[in-house]
Amino acid sequence: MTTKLTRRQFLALAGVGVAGAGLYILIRAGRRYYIENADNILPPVIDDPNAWLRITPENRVELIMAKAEMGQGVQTAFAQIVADELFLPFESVDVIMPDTTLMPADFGTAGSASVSSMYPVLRMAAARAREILKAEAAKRLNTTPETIAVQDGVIVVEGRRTEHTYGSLIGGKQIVAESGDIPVPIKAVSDHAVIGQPKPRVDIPAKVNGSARYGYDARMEGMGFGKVLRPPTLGATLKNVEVSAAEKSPGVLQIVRDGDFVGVIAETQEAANIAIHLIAATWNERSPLLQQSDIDSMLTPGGFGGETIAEAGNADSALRDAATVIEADYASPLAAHAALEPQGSLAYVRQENGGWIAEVWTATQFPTASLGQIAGAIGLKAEQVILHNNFLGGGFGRKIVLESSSEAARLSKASGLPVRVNWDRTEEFQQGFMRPPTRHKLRAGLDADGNVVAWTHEQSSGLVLFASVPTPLQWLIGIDFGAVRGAIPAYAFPNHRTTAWYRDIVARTGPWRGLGLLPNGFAVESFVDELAQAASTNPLEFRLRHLGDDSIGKRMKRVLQTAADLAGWSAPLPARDGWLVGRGLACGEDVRTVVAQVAEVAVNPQTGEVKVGRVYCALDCGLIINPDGVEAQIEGNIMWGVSSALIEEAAIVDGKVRATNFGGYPLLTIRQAPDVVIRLIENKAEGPYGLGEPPIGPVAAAIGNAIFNATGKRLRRLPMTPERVLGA
Amino acid sequence: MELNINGELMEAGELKGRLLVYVLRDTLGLTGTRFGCGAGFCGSCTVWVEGQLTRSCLTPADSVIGQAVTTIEGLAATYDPHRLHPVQQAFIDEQVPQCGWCMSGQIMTAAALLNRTPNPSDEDLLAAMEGNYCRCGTYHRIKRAIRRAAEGMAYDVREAVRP
Repeated sequence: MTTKLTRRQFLALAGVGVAGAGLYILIRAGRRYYIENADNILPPVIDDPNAWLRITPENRVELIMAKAEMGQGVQTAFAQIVADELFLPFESVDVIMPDTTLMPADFGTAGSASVSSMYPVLRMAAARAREILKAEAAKRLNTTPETIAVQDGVIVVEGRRTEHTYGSLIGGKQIVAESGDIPVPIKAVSDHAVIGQPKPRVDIPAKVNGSARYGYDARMEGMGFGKVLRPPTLGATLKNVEVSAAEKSPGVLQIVRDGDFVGVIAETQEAANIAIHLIAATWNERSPLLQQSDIDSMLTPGGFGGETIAEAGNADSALRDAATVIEADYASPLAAHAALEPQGSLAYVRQENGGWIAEVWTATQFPTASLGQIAGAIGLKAEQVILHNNFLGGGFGRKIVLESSSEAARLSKASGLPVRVNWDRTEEFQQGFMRPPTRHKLRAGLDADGNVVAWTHEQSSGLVLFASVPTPLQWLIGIDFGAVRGAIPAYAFPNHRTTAWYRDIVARTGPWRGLGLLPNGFAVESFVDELAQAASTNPLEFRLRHLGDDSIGKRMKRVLQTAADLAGWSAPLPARDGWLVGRGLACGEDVRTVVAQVAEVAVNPQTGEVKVGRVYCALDCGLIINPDGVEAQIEGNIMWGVSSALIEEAAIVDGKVRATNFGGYPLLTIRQAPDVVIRLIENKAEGPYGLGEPPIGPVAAAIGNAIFNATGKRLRRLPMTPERVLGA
Repeated sequence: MELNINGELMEAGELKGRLLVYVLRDTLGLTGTRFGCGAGFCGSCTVWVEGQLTRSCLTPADSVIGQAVTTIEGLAATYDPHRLHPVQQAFIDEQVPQCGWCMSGQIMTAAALLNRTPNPSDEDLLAAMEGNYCRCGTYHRIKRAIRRAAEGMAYDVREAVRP
């Protein structure tokens, strides 16, 4: 069979090392899909291949794909999609994490978009492979492709198993085709056999026996251990540096100085860590030093630069005419990602065949974007950089951009050695970026019957996606779409307006799981509860009444009712001696996934301590690829949400993040973890929609609403600490 | 200097001024022991020294000379050389790990708990495990897996399955 490949695709094919026999399907996933689905936050990228499917003569499938596995189970979900379309057992598919020579383009792994974006693409590619081999089988068996079926990879003719398999049909040949070049039949959803099954995650065995390799684990014979000098406060620039004591420190191989960049290379991590402390530096620091109160005053919404992101009717006049007007201010703090694997990268920058190449081993959510960043740091071109991506020990948005890759590359180029730069926890807290703080001013008007006739949400946030956008472009674009994620209420309010301000708060901020979802969800869904209270209406009934009859509104009503039924919403909670008990409801929509949660809390009226005993969750993400994987993502999002709601707050003191380690920034522990009860809505007619972030949106509001239900106190600032509970 | 790791004497070079976590990971290539915080808060680097739970990030490497160190790579063999440790198996059966970075520490801690307390109460379990963070939030699966492992180990004792 023939297929026309462009020169560029041929080069990529050479890159994939097509030496072996097999049927290769080239996949160029992105452009079409991303134009069809404007919801996706990632921009359309280049037309280079971004996944390969290979069926081997041994009747196995290799899927080479540029999505990072960071615990979300993407490899398993992809294997299920491909196996199903090929009528193969799940176990026949190997998912391979590529390096950037095998996979020149990826979209990053972010925005809860991997499965939703790749589902149609992978099915098309697998179907293309299947149809090629069915045609080949028909030729060999002297029949027509319509008479041919496949069972477990074996060719079946009119119900009779033949001696042919995909693998045997390929034999020693090398066949190449591009997915999407001709139409192919796709399996009906009702025929799915592997999709929808709780298949075990393919990455788990290596994670329980210790053999899984992460970015932080990279090693190479003869490598040096790098450590970089850090400014003492945000924005400080280097004035003078004295390195002689560090140079003499045992085990130090080299001190590298390049402008403001100063680093140590040593024989061991310990030697590097000690030597960096022996560097005496003076700095030009901001004066006065940034304080948390400066940030707080920057954040008040209002003034120049506000952008209206959603509006209907006339909210101002409806507010004037309303029978009752309610107002409230909400706030959320800076918060850390705190992935338990700090970032780390090994780089080996060297001359080969007369030219420079930089080879990097790391674990990033966005390998393609890393290439230019690494190249820029050492004066190379992106094409001269190769990146090998390993497992991520948590990503959560933090690992979209890894500073350690550039730092390792600079130290390697200066020394000629392979050098690894593994950040420590203090660097993670003090040099990384965080979830930005937000403020929310909410106003609503109710009519005499307790219906919402007007709603305004004025939101301000530190930078999320704008953190990587140059300032003039920020002016042109106007809205940081990351910061406003979740800011627009899902309800059919007749008059409403949501306005957003973005603020550069000096402290480094950026994408964090769900971006604005959790802060905005806390403000919006807590305030909805306040309105239900003002209208003397059950919060469930109040929400159901205000949701529209469009698809999202209908699906939202269903998850709300389901979550409420699951939690026994109308039955009283059992009393608990010495504690006030209550439950709260919240819901939200994100990337077309709808989710509702009921939190049960107990509040100690003496100490202000809040215990979240259980969270019930109903969710509709459309088609489900792996129900156990869906539940795992929901569970993880709920734990993140509880941790954020009750515990996590970073503060800036004297120009830097106060916390240096988990002692100053504790996370949720197993003792504080709630039970989680999940009900997944069966909805195979649409989706699959995203899952890595949507369930985080309602958690904090459900807890805050439960605290109100228990105590009559409304908490409007995260985290809801014992002091704030007592002070409310 | 030699260290006794997973029942094997391993040449680990000069140990003065070195920490056990980096000797294991960087010198010996036993990267299954993970570094999380370097200060004893998170539990990711937990190993056994003479069967006792030890934060390898706070342990001078020369302090364990002559002592038996067990890491995740050697855990199974302490129970039965022919299969995974029941705690590891239970973590698979309950599909516990997400990112997996904390899991070696979780598993080492849980296995030590069950060695000491074969049938732990809820409070025993929480007290044993609350020093191990899991950022992905797999906590309730960890609870289920430890219960399952305890049942598996009780079965092995009852049926005398182990070698």
